[in-house]
Amino acid sequence: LRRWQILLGIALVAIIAGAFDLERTQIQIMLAHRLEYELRGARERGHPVFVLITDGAEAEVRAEAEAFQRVTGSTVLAVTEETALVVPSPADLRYATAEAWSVAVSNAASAFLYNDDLNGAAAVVVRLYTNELVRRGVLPALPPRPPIFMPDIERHPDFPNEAALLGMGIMLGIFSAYGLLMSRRARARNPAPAS
Amino acid sequence: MSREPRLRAGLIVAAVQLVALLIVQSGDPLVSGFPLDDAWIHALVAKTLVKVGTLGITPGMHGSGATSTLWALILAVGEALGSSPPRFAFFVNAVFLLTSGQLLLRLLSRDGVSTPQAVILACLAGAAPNFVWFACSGMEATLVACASLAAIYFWFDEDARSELFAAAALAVLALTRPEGIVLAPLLLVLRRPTSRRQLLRWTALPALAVAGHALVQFAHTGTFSPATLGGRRWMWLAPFEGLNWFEIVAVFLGDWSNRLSEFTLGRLDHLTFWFAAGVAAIGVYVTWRVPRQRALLLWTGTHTAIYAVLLPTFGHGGRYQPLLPLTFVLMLGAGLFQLLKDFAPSRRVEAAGAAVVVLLGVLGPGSALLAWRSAHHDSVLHVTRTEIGMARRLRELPPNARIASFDIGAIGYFSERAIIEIGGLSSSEIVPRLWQGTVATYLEQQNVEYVVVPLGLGGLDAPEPWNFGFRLGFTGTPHLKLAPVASVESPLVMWRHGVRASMHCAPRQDLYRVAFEPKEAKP
Repeated sequence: LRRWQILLGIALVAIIAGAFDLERTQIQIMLAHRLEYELRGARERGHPVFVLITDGAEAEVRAEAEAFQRVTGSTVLAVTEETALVVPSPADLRYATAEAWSVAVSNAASAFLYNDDLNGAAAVVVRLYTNELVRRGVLPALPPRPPIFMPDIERHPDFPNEAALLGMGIMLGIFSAYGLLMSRRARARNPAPAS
Repeated sequence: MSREPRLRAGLIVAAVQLVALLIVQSGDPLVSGFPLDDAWIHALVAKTLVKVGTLGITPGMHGSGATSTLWALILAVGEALGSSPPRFAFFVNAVFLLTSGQLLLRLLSRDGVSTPQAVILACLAGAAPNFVWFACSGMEATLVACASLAAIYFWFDEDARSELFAAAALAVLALTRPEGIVLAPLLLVLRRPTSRRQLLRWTALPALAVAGHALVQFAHTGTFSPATLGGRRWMWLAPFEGLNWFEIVAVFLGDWSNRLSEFTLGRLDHLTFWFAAGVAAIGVYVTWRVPRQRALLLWTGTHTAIYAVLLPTFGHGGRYQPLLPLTFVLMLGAGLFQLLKDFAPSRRVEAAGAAVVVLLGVLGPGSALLAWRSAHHDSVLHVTRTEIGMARRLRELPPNARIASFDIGAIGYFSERAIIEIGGLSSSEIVPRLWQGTVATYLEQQNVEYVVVPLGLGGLDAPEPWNFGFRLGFTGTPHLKLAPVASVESPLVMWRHGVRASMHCAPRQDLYRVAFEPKEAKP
């Protein structure tokens, strides 16, 4: 009985943890790792850069990105559900103005954002940035870096990270609730002898 | 079960499977083509075998591009008879699908499942939409499932004849997919032999098949692993560069959860799969006590784990793990029946619940069958337009032209030209160049005059997912000059619709004339 209770407890924790943050704007956790890997080479070559996935009006996001850039000295690639923009570091300002960077990434991301594909937008913005560094000779051109993820033009739902946690909680919850009920039933049928 | 009810039960399962199969195949009612270029690769191996006696895509190179020896041999029968490869493969696969349904029904009955429940479960699992589509795919996936079910079914029977049938099924499985041999030790653990003679009867035939096959392969290729593995690892895993193995496996499992949800249960949302998985977990819990279903469950898990280690991807349309949709639906059904048995207050409510299970099976997986029908239609049309379309363009080139191509199935089958394969399926020699992006040097060494490249709709310059010119390093090789000769493509929406279900191939195939400029001398 206790074993089932523990399992049910874990399931409830997963469900609560998953449901708590379900609506936050975010990209898939594996994609985030993949993009970090993509940007690591740039950082190692003196181009500190961060990806900011957030939500809000463009002015608010720009202010947030600019503040982040001032504090860290890094280029900030900001992607929201509406737009994408770049606040470049002094090192990246040598290649283009802040406006030119932002226009380029916004154009590239718009095809993805039109279809509510935040993952695709983030991937294309990062790839556009690293391609520019390849073009400028900062990053090596070979071997060719394979595509990150397929663009989603059919608007199939993006599952946030928490959906998997919530889902696993539900799966475990159904299973452990069944086990608990069956154990109780078995105990009711065969009560333990009084000591 | 006596003879007449058993016959009736078998007929019901066969009828349901046949209806499901015809629904999916009605996307291409005349069976005019394959939905995957990989199916054309098998057909090409069969054609080469019949014409020149080589079991491979390249004459004289045994093992080149041949992932499934037995499937190629079966298709070679059709080729020798002059039958259309898609029609012959469909016919053979339909037989394997229906046999799988019958084996599943018998397996459940032998595990003590009541006849009505066994019939419903065999219908639900045997007609699981993704599983049914395997029979339309032209691939060996249905044979893998059929041989697995046969081996498990006969293994637990006591008589000597069943022992030989089990051994034969294991040999068939190992010759269909090399990893199939792992089922033999798994079954030996689950039911140990009582004598040396029994051990010999169980293992001699599969061991002979595997050893013979491995030795022939080693003699011709110098390696025991399939020649295709290196190229496929590059194709599927290179996009995950930077992720560690656990993360790649997490993506693999996540992809399967989405695939089971959309293409088996008929719904793609956050939670349907997880509710179903919860009920399936109850199914696992209750079937763990019965030998055959436990063996099926363990084999499905082990088979998936083998892929998680070697090649963590579901492959085209889920074909690498063909047992997964079947076993998932079986466990889901078993879980639902167990819930009814435990919580229904009366037999009448239990019967009503069983009717609800059937209704859910018709509504959810039924809609997935229709989705497969439409995706199958688009996939066949796309592969025919682009791959066979490009092969026809290649026929217009001079007969002795040196042509290289990444996709090799339909292009090799229909072009009537010797094609140099650059996808790493023929030999492992090119695989390091795939990872380094230096395939252009291979073209130069081989004096290639024309190259066929799969592309996205953005063309050669767009660094997008399906641009193999970019992935192979052509666009990053300054002294390689590619002059466009021909291009074939499908409309974007049609391509996307097919590729979501079957992962068939790139939206476009481009033919280029190859030229190499002299490299600039270093000052």
